[in-house]
Amino acid sequence: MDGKKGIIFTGAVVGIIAVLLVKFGNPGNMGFCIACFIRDIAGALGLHSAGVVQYVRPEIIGLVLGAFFMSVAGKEFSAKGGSAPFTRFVLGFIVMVGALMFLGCPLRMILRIAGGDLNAIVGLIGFAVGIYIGIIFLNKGFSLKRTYKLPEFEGYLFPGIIVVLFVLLLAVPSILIFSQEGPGAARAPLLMSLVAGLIVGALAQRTRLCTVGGIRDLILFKDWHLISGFIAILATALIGNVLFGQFKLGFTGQPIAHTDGLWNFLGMALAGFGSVLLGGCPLRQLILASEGNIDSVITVMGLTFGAAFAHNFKLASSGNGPTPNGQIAVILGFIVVLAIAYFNIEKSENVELKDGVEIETM
Amino acid sequence: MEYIATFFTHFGAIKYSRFLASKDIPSETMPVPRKLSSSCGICVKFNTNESINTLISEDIERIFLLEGSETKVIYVNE
Repeated sequence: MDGKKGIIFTGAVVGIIAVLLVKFGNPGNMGFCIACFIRDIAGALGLHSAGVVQYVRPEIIGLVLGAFFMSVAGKEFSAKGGSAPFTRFVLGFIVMVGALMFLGCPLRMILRIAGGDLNAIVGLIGFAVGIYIGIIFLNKGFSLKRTYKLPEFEGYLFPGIIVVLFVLLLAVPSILIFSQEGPGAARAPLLMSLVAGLIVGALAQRTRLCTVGGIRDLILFKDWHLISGFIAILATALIGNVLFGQFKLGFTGQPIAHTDGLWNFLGMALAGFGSVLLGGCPLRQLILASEGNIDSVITVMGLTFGAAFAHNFKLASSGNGPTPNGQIAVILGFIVVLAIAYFNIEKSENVELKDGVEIETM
Repeated sequence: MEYIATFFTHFGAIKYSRFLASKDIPSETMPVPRKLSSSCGICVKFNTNESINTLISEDIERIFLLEGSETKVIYVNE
Protein backbone atom coordinates (compact mmCIF):
# COMPACT_ATOMS: atom_id res chain seq x y z
CA MET A 1 0.00 0.00 0.00
CA ASP A 2 2.92 2.36 0.62
CA GLY A 3 4.56 1.71 -2.72
CA LYS A 4 3.93 2.77 -6.26
CA LYS A 5 0.74 0.72 -6.44
CA GLY A 6 -0.63 2.48 -3.38
CA ILE A 7 -0.29 5.98 -4.77
CA ILE A 8 -1.71 5.00 -8.17
CA PHE A 9 -4.61 3.18 -6.49
CA THR A 10 -5.28 6.24 -4.34
CA GLY A 11 -5.21 8.55 -7.34
CA ALA A 12 -7.57 6.25 -9.23
CA VAL A 13 -10.00 6.14 -6.31
CA VAL A 14 -9.94 9.94 -5.99
CA GLY A 15 -10.64 10.27 -9.72
CA ILE A 16 -13.57 7.84 -9.68
CA ILE A 17 -15.11 9.28 -6.52
CA ALA A 18 -14.78 12.83 -7.86
CA VAL A 19 -16.66 11.91 -11.03
CA LEU A 20 -19.38 10.13 -9.03
CA LEU A 21 -19.84 13.11 -6.70
CA VAL A 22 -20.49 15.33 -9.72
CA LYS A 23 -22.84 12.71 -11.17
CA PHE A 24 -24.81 12.71 -7.91
CA GLY A 25 -25.06 16.43 -7.47
CA ASN A 26 -21.80 18.30 -6.85
CA PRO A 27 -21.02 21.28 -9.13
CA GLY A 28 -19.36 20.52 -12.49
CA ASN A 29 -15.74 19.32 -12.29
CA MET A 30 -15.98 19.84 -8.53
CA GLY A 31 -16.14 16.35 -7.08
CA PHE A 32 -13.42 17.61 -4.80
CA CYS A 33 -12.02 21.09 -4.42
CA ILE A 34 -10.35 21.90 -1.15
CA ALA A 35 -10.30 25.64 -1.81
CA CYS A 36 -13.94 25.79 -2.94
CA PHE A 37 -15.17 23.56 -0.11
CA ILE A 38 -13.34 25.50 2.59
CA ARG A 39 -14.79 28.65 1.02
CA ASP A 40 -18.28 27.11 1.13
CA ILE A 41 -17.82 26.24 4.82
CA ALA A 42 -16.63 29.79 5.55
CA GLY A 43 -19.85 30.98 3.91
CA ALA A 44 -22.03 28.53 5.84
CA LEU A 45 -20.56 29.92 9.06
CA GLY A 46 -21.38 33.46 7.98
CA LEU A 47 -17.75 34.49 7.54
CA HIS A 48 -18.72 35.77 4.09
CA SER A 49 -22.11 36.41 2.58
CA ALA A 50 -21.73 35.37 -1.05
CA GLY A 51 -25.13 33.69 -1.28
CA VAL A 52 -24.22 31.15 -3.97
CA VAL A 53 -21.26 29.52 -2.19
CA GLN A 54 -22.42 28.59 1.31
CA TYR A 55 -22.60 24.99 2.53
CA VAL A 56 -20.88 22.77 5.10
CA ARG A 57 -19.28 20.32 2.68
CA PRO A 58 -19.32 16.84 4.25
CA GLU A 59 -16.35 15.92 2.02
CA ILE A 60 -14.10 18.14 4.17
CA ILE A 61 -15.42 16.58 7.39
CA GLY A 62 -14.76 13.14 5.92
CA LEU A 63 -11.26 14.03 4.70
CA VAL A 64 -10.25 15.27 8.15
CA LEU A 65 -11.74 12.37 10.08
CA GLY A 66 -10.51 9.76 7.58
CA ALA A 67 -6.96 11.07 7.81
CA PHE A 68 -7.24 11.41 11.60
CA PHE A 69 -8.36 7.80 12.14
CA MET A 70 -5.82 6.46 9.67
CA SER A 71 -2.97 8.33 11.37
CA VAL A 72 -4.08 7.08 14.80
CA ALA A 73 -4.37 3.51 13.49
CA GLY A 74 -0.89 3.75 11.95
CA LYS A 75 0.53 5.25 15.18
CA GLU A 76 1.54 8.33 13.19
CA PHE A 77 -0.66 10.86 14.93
CA SER A 78 1.66 13.33 16.60
CA ALA A 79 1.10 16.92 17.72
CA LYS A 80 3.82 19.21 16.46
CA GLY A 81 4.20 22.78 15.33
CA GLY A 82 6.02 26.04 15.83
CA SER A 83 7.49 26.46 12.36
CA ALA A 84 6.77 30.12 11.52
CA PRO A 85 3.02 29.87 12.30
CA PHE A 86 1.88 33.33 11.23
CA THR A 87 3.94 33.20 8.04
CA ARG A 88 2.06 30.01 7.23
CA PHE A 89 -1.25 31.72 7.97
CA VAL A 90 -0.37 34.50 5.51
CA LEU A 91 0.79 31.99 2.88
CA GLY A 92 -2.47 30.04 3.32
CA PHE A 93 -4.42 33.26 2.82
CA ILE A 94 -2.51 34.05 -0.37
CA VAL A 95 -2.77 30.51 -1.77
CA MET A 96 -6.54 30.85 -1.39
CA VAL A 97 -6.56 34.21 -3.20
CA GLY A 98 -4.65 32.60 -6.07
CA ALA A 99 -6.92 29.56 -6.13
CA LEU A 100 -10.08 31.70 -6.18
CA MET A 101 -8.65 33.77 -9.03
CA PHE A 102 -8.37 30.53 -11.02
CA LEU A 103 -11.51 29.02 -9.43
CA GLY A 104 -10.15 25.90 -7.85
CA CYS A 105 -7.37 24.34 -5.83
CA PRO A 106 -4.74 22.22 -7.64
CA LEU A 107 -6.91 19.13 -7.11
CA ARG A 108 -9.84 20.75 -8.88
CA MET A 109 -7.42 21.92 -11.57
CA ILE A 110 -6.73 18.25 -12.36
CA LEU A 111 -10.45 17.46 -12.28
CA ARG A 112 -11.18 20.41 -14.59
CA ILE A 113 -8.61 19.11 -17.09
CA ALA A 114 -10.25 15.68 -16.80
CA GLY A 115 -13.58 17.31 -17.65
CA GLY A 116 -12.15 18.81 -20.84
CA ASP A 117 -11.72 22.35 -19.46
CA LEU A 118 -8.72 23.66 -21.41
CA ASN A 119 -8.47 26.76 -19.19
CA ALA A 120 -7.18 24.41 -16.51
CA ILE A 121 -4.24 23.43 -18.72
CA VAL A 122 -3.27 27.11 -18.72
CA GLY A 123 -3.66 26.93 -14.94
CA LEU A 124 -1.45 23.83 -14.79
CA ILE A 125 1.33 25.60 -16.67
CA GLY A 126 1.08 28.51 -14.23
CA PHE A 127 1.04 26.06 -11.31
CA ALA A 128 4.25 24.35 -12.52
CA VAL A 129 5.95 27.74 -13.06
CA GLY A 130 4.96 28.80 -9.52
CA ILE A 131 6.38 25.57 -8.10
CA TYR A 132 9.57 26.08 -10.08
CA ILE A 133 10.04 29.59 -8.65
CA GLY A 134 9.47 28.17 -5.16
CA ILE A 135 12.09 25.46 -5.73
CA ILE A 136 14.67 28.12 -6.65
CA PHE A 137 14.16 29.61 -3.20
CA LEU A 138 14.23 26.16 -1.54
CA ASN A 139 17.62 25.50 -3.09
CA LYS A 140 18.90 28.94 -2.08
CA GLY A 141 18.16 28.10 1.55
CA PHE A 142 14.53 29.05 2.13
CA SER A 143 13.34 27.62 5.43
CA LEU A 144 10.48 28.26 7.84
CA LYS A 145 12.59 26.60 10.56
CA ARG A 146 11.91 23.45 12.47
CA THR A 147 8.81 22.15 14.20
CA TYR A 148 8.66 21.06 17.82
CA LYS A 149 6.70 18.44 19.67
CA LEU A 150 3.55 19.83 21.26
CA PRO A 151 1.18 18.48 23.93
CA GLU A 152 -0.87 15.63 22.43
CA PHE A 153 -4.13 17.41 23.31
CA GLU A 154 -3.30 20.29 20.97
CA GLY A 155 -3.43 17.86 18.06
CA TYR A 156 -6.94 16.66 18.92
CA LEU A 157 -8.46 20.14 18.84
CA PHE A 158 -8.74 20.48 15.06
CA PRO A 159 -10.37 17.08 14.44
CA GLY A 160 -12.53 17.88 17.49
CA ILE A 161 -13.76 21.15 15.97
CA ILE A 162 -14.57 19.28 12.76
CA VAL A 163 -16.66 16.81 14.79
CA VAL A 164 -18.53 19.76 16.33
CA LEU A 165 -19.16 21.14 12.85
CA PHE A 166 -20.49 17.73 11.79
CA VAL A 167 -22.83 17.58 14.80
CA LEU A 168 -24.14 21.06 13.94
CA LEU A 169 -24.71 19.97 10.36
CA LEU A 170 -26.71 16.94 11.46
CA ALA A 171 -28.52 18.29 14.50
CA VAL A 172 -29.16 22.00 13.92
CA PRO A 173 -28.52 22.80 10.25
CA SER A 174 -30.88 25.77 10.65
CA ILE A 175 -28.17 27.83 12.40
CA LEU A 176 -25.89 27.38 9.37
CA ILE A 177 -26.33 29.30 6.13
CA PHE A 178 -26.91 27.18 3.01
CA SER A 179 -27.09 28.46 -0.55
CA GLN A 180 -30.49 28.19 -2.21
CA GLU A 181 -28.98 28.48 -5.70
CA GLY A 182 -25.61 28.38 -7.46
CA PRO A 183 -22.68 26.03 -6.80
CA GLY A 184 -23.37 26.03 -3.04
CA ALA A 185 -26.77 24.48 -3.72
CA ALA A 186 -25.29 21.74 -5.93
CA ARG A 187 -24.62 18.90 -3.51
CA ALA A 188 -24.20 15.16 -3.64
CA PRO A 189 -26.17 13.42 -0.86
CA LEU A 190 -24.68 14.08 2.58
CA LEU A 191 -23.82 10.48 3.46
CA MET A 192 -22.21 9.88 0.08
CA SER A 193 -20.09 13.04 0.38
CA LEU A 194 -19.05 12.09 3.90
CA VAL A 195 -18.01 8.55 2.95
CA ALA A 196 -16.18 9.88 -0.13
CA GLY A 197 -14.21 12.20 2.12
CA LEU A 198 -13.47 9.45 4.66
CA ILE A 199 -12.07 7.12 1.99
CA VAL A 200 -9.97 9.79 0.29
CA GLY A 201 -8.75 11.22 3.61
CA ALA A 202 -7.59 7.82 4.82
CA LEU A 203 -5.89 6.96 1.52
CA ALA A 204 -4.26 10.39 1.21
CA GLN A 205 -2.84 10.07 4.73
CA ARG A 206 -1.52 6.60 3.90
CA THR A 207 0.15 7.66 0.65
CA ARG A 208 0.98 11.38 1.22
CA LEU A 209 -0.86 12.23 -2.02
CA CYS A 210 0.04 15.83 -2.89
CA THR A 211 -0.35 17.78 -6.11
CA VAL A 212 2.46 20.22 -5.33
CA GLY A 213 4.78 17.51 -4.01
CA GLY A 214 4.36 15.57 -7.26
CA ILE A 215 5.68 18.32 -9.48
CA ARG A 216 8.29 19.35 -6.88
CA ASP A 217 9.77 15.85 -6.56
CA LEU A 218 9.76 15.44 -10.33
CA ILE A 219 11.72 18.68 -10.85
CA LEU A 220 14.06 18.20 -7.87
CA PHE A 221 14.78 14.48 -7.97
CA LYS A 222 13.25 13.16 -11.20
CA ASP A 223 11.12 11.17 -8.75
CA TRP A 224 7.84 10.04 -10.30
CA HIS A 225 6.24 8.65 -7.16
CA LEU A 226 3.87 11.42 -6.03
CA ILE A 227 3.08 12.64 -9.52
CA SER A 228 1.92 9.17 -10.50
CA GLY A 229 -0.99 9.76 -8.09
CA PHE A 230 -1.70 13.04 -9.86
CA ILE A 231 -1.67 11.29 -13.25
CA ALA A 232 -3.92 8.49 -11.95
CA ILE A 233 -6.52 11.06 -10.80
CA LEU A 234 -6.44 12.66 -14.22
CA ALA A 235 -6.70 9.38 -16.13
CA THR A 236 -9.57 7.84 -14.15
CA ALA A 237 -11.55 11.07 -13.88
CA LEU A 238 -11.14 11.58 -17.63
CA ILE A 239 -12.43 8.08 -18.41
CA GLY A 240 -15.24 8.46 -15.88
CA ASN A 241 -16.31 11.81 -17.30
CA VAL A 242 -16.42 10.40 -20.83
CA LEU A 243 -18.47 7.39 -19.66
CA PHE A 244 -20.98 9.57 -17.79
CA GLY A 245 -21.20 12.16 -20.54
CA GLN A 246 -19.64 14.80 -18.30
CA PHE A 247 -16.71 15.44 -20.63
CA LYS A 248 -16.81 18.59 -22.73
CA LEU A 249 -13.66 19.76 -24.48
CA GLY A 250 -13.05 23.47 -24.91
CA PHE A 251 -12.32 26.83 -23.33
CA THR A 252 -15.81 28.33 -23.21
CA GLY A 253 -18.94 27.29 -21.36
CA GLN A 254 -17.04 25.26 -18.76
CA PRO A 255 -18.65 24.85 -15.33
CA ILE A 256 -17.48 27.39 -12.72
CA ALA A 257 -14.56 28.61 -14.79
CA HIS A 258 -13.57 31.69 -16.77
CA THR A 259 -11.53 32.02 -19.94
CA ASP A 260 -9.04 34.74 -19.00
CA GLY A 261 -5.79 32.89 -19.69
CA LEU A 262 -3.42 35.39 -18.13
CA TRP A 263 -5.24 35.39 -14.80
CA ASN A 264 -5.80 31.63 -14.80
CA PHE A 265 -2.05 31.33 -15.25
CA LEU A 266 -1.17 33.90 -12.58
CA GLY A 267 -3.72 32.62 -10.06
CA MET A 268 -2.35 29.09 -10.20
CA ALA A 269 1.27 30.30 -10.30
CA LEU A 270 0.61 32.14 -7.04
CA ALA A 271 -1.05 29.07 -5.51
CA GLY A 272 1.86 26.85 -6.62
CA PHE A 273 4.55 29.24 -5.36
CA GLY A 274 2.86 29.66 -1.96
CA SER A 275 2.20 25.93 -1.63
CA VAL A 276 5.82 24.93 -2.27
CA LEU A 277 6.94 27.27 0.49
CA LEU A 278 4.31 25.67 2.76
CA GLY A 279 5.48 22.20 1.74
CA GLY A 280 2.20 20.96 0.27
CA CYS A 281 -1.02 21.77 -1.58
CA PRO A 282 -4.29 22.62 0.23
CA LEU A 283 -5.35 18.93 0.26
CA ARG A 284 -2.05 17.93 1.83
CA GLN A 285 -2.34 20.73 4.40
CA LEU A 286 -5.76 19.45 5.40
CA ILE A 287 -4.44 15.89 5.79
CA LEU A 288 -1.41 17.03 7.82
CA ALA A 289 -3.68 19.17 10.01
CA SER A 290 -5.67 16.02 10.77
CA GLU A 291 -2.64 14.05 11.92
CA GLY A 292 -1.60 16.64 14.51
CA ASN A 293 0.43 19.12 12.47
CA ILE A 294 -0.53 22.46 14.03
CA ASP A 295 1.38 24.43 11.42
CA SER A 296 -0.98 22.96 8.86
CA VAL A 297 -3.97 23.76 11.08
CA ILE A 298 -2.82 27.39 11.05
CA THR A 299 -2.46 27.16 7.26
CA VAL A 300 -6.03 25.86 6.96
CA MET A 301 -7.16 28.79 9.11
CA GLY A 302 -5.29 31.08 6.70
CA LEU A 303 -7.06 29.41 3.76
CA THR A 304 -10.43 29.89 5.49
CA PHE A 305 -9.75 33.51 6.38
CA GLY A 306 -8.48 34.13 2.84
CA ALA A 307 -11.65 32.62 1.37
CA ALA A 308 -13.91 34.79 3.53
CA PHE A 309 -11.86 37.87 2.71
CA ALA A 310 -11.84 37.03 -1.01
CA HIS A 311 -15.63 36.97 -1.17
CA ASN A 312 -16.22 39.92 1.17
CA PHE A 313 -13.91 42.13 -0.90
CA LYS A 314 -14.72 40.71 -4.33
CA LEU A 315 -11.32 39.18 -5.00
CA ALA A 316 -12.74 35.87 -6.19
CA SER A 317 -13.41 35.39 -9.88
CA SER A 318 -16.73 34.22 -11.27
CA GLY A 319 -17.77 32.62 -14.54
CA ASN A 320 -17.60 36.14 -15.99
CA GLY A 321 -13.88 36.39 -15.28
CA PRO A 322 -11.55 37.95 -12.75
CA THR A 323 -12.39 41.13 -10.83
CA PRO A 324 -10.12 44.22 -10.67
CA ASN A 325 -9.86 43.73 -6.90
CA GLY A 326 -8.79 40.14 -7.47
CA GLN A 327 -6.12 41.17 -9.96
CA ILE A 328 -4.68 43.69 -7.49
CA ALA A 329 -4.78 41.07 -4.72
CA VAL A 330 -2.93 38.49 -6.83
CA ILE A 331 -0.18 41.01 -7.67
CA LEU A 332 0.11 42.01 -4.01
CA GLY A 333 0.13 38.30 -3.18
CA PHE A 334 3.16 37.75 -5.41
CA ILE A 335 4.98 40.64 -3.72
CA VAL A 336 4.26 39.25 -0.26
CA VAL A 337 5.21 35.66 -1.15
CA LEU A 338 8.42 36.87 -2.78
CA ALA A 339 9.23 38.85 0.38
CA ILE A 340 8.49 35.80 2.56
CA ALA A 341 10.65 33.63 0.29
CA TYR A 342 13.52 36.11 0.25
CA PHE A 343 13.62 37.06 3.92
CA ASN A 344 13.51 33.44 5.08
CA ILE A 345 16.64 32.41 3.22
CA GLU A 346 19.14 31.00 5.69
CA LYS A 347 22.47 32.69 5.20
CA SER A 348 24.51 30.21 7.20
CA GLU A 349 25.81 27.14 5.40
CA ASN A 350 27.25 25.80 8.66
CA VAL A 351 26.22 22.46 9.97
CA GLU A 352 26.11 22.58 13.78
CA LEU A 353 27.21 19.28 15.14
CA LYS A 354 25.88 17.87 18.38
CA ASP A 355 28.33 16.76 21.03
CA GLY A 356 27.96 13.88 23.40
CA VAL A 357 25.42 11.79 21.49
CA GLU A 358 26.20 8.11 21.89
CA ILE A 359 24.55 5.70 19.50
CA GLU A 360 25.08 1.98 19.75
CA THR A 361 24.89 0.61 16.23
CA MET A 362 26.13 -2.90 16.82
CA MET B 1 27.33 1.20 7.26
CA GLU B 2 24.39 2.74 5.46
CA TYR B 3 22.21 5.40 7.08
CA ILE B 4 19.23 7.58 6.24
CA ALA B 5 18.89 10.89 8.07
CA THR B 6 15.62 12.85 8.07
CA PHE B 7 15.51 16.57 8.79
CA PHE B 8 13.24 19.23 10.26
CA THR B 9 13.68 21.40 7.17
CA HIS B 10 14.41 21.03 3.48
CA PHE B 11 17.49 23.25 3.73
CA GLY B 12 18.76 21.25 6.70
CA ALA B 13 19.00 18.26 4.39
CA ILE B 14 20.72 20.22 1.62
CA LYS B 15 23.29 21.65 4.07
CA TYR B 16 23.95 18.21 5.50
CA SER B 17 24.57 16.64 2.11
CA ARG B 18 27.11 19.41 1.38
CA PHE B 19 28.69 18.80 4.80
CA LEU B 20 29.04 15.09 4.00
CA ALA B 21 30.51 15.93 0.60
CA SER B 22 33.13 18.10 2.34
CA LYS B 23 34.11 15.03 4.37
CA ASP B 24 34.22 12.88 1.23
CA ILE B 25 31.26 10.82 2.35
CA PRO B 26 29.07 9.99 -0.66
CA SER B 27 25.38 10.72 -0.14
CA GLU B 28 22.09 10.87 -2.00
CA THR B 29 19.29 13.38 -1.37
CA MET B 30 15.78 12.06 -1.98
CA PRO B 31 12.16 12.21 -0.81
CA VAL B 32 11.70 10.51 2.56
CA PRO B 33 10.48 6.91 2.00
CA ARG B 34 6.86 6.58 3.12
CA LYS B 35 7.55 3.79 5.59
CA LEU B 36 9.96 6.03 7.50
CA SER B 37 7.64 8.99 7.94
CA SER B 38 4.16 10.31 7.20
CA SER B 39 5.61 13.75 6.56
CA CYS B 40 7.00 14.53 3.15
CA GLY B 41 10.37 16.19 3.44
CA ILE B 42 13.65 15.10 1.93
CA CYS B 43 16.24 12.84 3.46
CA VAL B 44 19.92 12.10 2.99
CA LYS B 45 21.12 8.54 2.48
CA PHE B 46 24.81 7.95 3.06
CA ASN B 47 27.35 5.24 3.57
CA THR B 48 30.27 5.58 5.98
CA ASN B 49 32.42 3.58 8.35
CA GLU B 50 33.09 6.64 10.51
CA SER B 51 31.40 6.72 13.91
CA ILE B 52 27.90 8.12 13.44
CA ASN B 53 28.27 9.88 16.81
CA THR B 54 30.53 12.47 15.21
CA LEU B 55 28.12 13.13 12.34
CA ILE B 56 24.97 14.23 14.19
CA SER B 57 23.80 17.74 13.41
CA GLU B 58 21.15 19.91 15.06
CA ASP B 59 19.03 19.80 11.91
CA ILE B 60 18.59 16.03 11.99
CA GLU B 61 15.23 14.73 13.20
CA ARG B 62 15.92 11.00 12.98
CA ILE B 63 18.64 8.65 11.84
CA PHE B 64 17.86 5.19 10.52
CA LEU B 65 20.33 2.37 10.13
CA LEU B 66 19.82 0.31 6.98
CA GLU B 67 20.43 -3.41 7.26
CA GLY B 68 19.46 -5.06 3.99
CA SER B 69 15.80 -4.21 3.50
CA GLU B 70 15.35 -3.52 7.24
CA THR B 71 15.50 -0.01 8.71
CA LYS B 72 16.02 0.65 12.38
CA VAL B 73 15.67 4.03 14.16
CA ILE B 74 18.91 4.71 16.01
CA TYR B 75 18.52 8.39 16.85
CA VAL B 76 15.55 10.71 17.51
CA ASN B 77 15.75 14.44 18.20
CA GLU B 78 12.44 15.51 19.77
